[in-house]
Amino acid sequence: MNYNRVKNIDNMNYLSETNPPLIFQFEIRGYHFVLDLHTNRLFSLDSREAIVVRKWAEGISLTKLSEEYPIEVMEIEKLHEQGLFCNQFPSGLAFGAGWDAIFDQILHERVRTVLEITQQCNLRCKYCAFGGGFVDHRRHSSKVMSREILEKAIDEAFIHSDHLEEISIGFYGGEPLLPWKLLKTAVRYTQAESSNKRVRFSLTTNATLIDQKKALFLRDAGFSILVSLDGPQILNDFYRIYPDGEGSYADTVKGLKILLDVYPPEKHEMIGLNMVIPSYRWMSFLERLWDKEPWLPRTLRAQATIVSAPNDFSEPDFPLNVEEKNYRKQWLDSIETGAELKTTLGQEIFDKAMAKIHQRPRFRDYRGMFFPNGCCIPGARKVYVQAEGNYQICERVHGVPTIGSVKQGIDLSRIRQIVEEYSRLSFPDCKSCFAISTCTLCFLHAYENGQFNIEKKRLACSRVKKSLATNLKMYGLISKISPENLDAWDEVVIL
Amino acid sequence: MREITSKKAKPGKKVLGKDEVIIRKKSFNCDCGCAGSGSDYDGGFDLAFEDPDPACGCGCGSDVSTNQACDMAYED
Repeated sequence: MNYNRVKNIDNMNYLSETNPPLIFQFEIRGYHFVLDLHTNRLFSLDSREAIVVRKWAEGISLTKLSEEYPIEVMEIEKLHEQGLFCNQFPSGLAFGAGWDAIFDQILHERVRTVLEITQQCNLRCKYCAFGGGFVDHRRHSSKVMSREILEKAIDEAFIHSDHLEEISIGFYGGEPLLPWKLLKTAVRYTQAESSNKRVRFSLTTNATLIDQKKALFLRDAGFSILVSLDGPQILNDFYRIYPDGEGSYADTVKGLKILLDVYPPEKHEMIGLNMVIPSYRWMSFLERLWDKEPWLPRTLRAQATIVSAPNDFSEPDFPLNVEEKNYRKQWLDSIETGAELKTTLGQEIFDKAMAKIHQRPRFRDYRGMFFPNGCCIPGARKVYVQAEGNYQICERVHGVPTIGSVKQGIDLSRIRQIVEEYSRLSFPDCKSCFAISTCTLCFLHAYENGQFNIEKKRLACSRVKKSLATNLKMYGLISKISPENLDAWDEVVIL
Repeated sequence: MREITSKKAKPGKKVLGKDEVIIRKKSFNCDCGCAGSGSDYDGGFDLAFEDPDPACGCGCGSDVSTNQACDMAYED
């Protein structure tokens, strides 16, 4: 046997041929797979190969295993010479470029700027992130972005995207339709300052304030709109209420209907629903919305999200139809049989997850550095501009330090500090983790009140690892039972 | 052993940061609540693996994660 690569590493006192490779092996329905962590390449195994890989991972030498499994060991050796099955730990977490390149991207290729144009909201949803039930989240306030900050933020969006032909401006709140004149001002200012750069606008709204006039404006400006609506009325109005306790369903549906009437059918893809559910067993329950509102296109984009439960959160106690708990199975059945789902919910959740696995980055061989989990490069693709003008990494992070402001500019040294701190403090846990090559945790999982908190991150780790393992299993299974789906997932664009 | 491959994700492709891998086509909405405008959110783009705690970016206060929904789907 030729274990040159291993022996070379041995000379560096890293390992011997008996040391286990950095892999993640799994099995589902009798199908066996192994994910090589350094290269991120996934292989299916026959049962004998699976035994060899498992035993090797348990510490039995390949020399010993070759006595009983010579063909399988030769196959491993062949792949090993191609750079797979390295058993050297990485040396750290870092992005795939030096800081000069990263800073260049931050300063010249910012794709998206999200504006928190108001912190006001006309609803008081029970689970709201800003309702006071979370330690380091802001609360509802009457704060509205000043015109000066608004214009400066838009100026900065153009300045830091000079290498791009298209950017995106998002509106966020609070309820961003409350300061309607300010929103219109922002759009017109952006259009006036855009030169020849294409600008896409987007908006997340409860739609209760939508009327014909507003809808026409949004349509003409080319807005993508995500409407928050939690399925059928009984569920929506359990959580999404006005300050007086009245449910918002009727007004949201009215606004949604106006949008769908005003936007031509070929533009309906620009409108989507975000549906929050108390727990996973409510997935199918959401589809009752389409039964109750037959005018609602079944093809409308719809995504479901699980509530981040604040203090005092409770699930509704009205009963579910037992059959509706099997939404997960419906999706898998649709993969196996080709049957269509009632709505796009399954596609938005499950197919998307599979496409992401399918298109994960691959590498040639040993990697000294792995990505800092699923962290974005702060400020590179997006910044979130708070009402008072501070830059946040994104709208979802609340405990991470700000990364500059519209007045003082993007703070490159702070960005570097945050990334390096995250990487340094995460690495001891990540070093030997099977999820190191596919982890999706990021700053929001690790920071609280401006400080890195490893205990908070470890809570998220346990959930991510479980999810990753199950997702990989499903991906492997589908590659066996319905491989044509892989081709479909290839069609998703990777930038 | 047979590799499960992707036509597009070839080994050795230069990758600056993981946030370059962004899904923004077909019927897939981005996950941050930006209505499919192409925002990353991976930092955020990874819906399925997210933990249920973080508030989502859609302004509704929900969490963007559906990972456990995926768990449910992926039972053996």
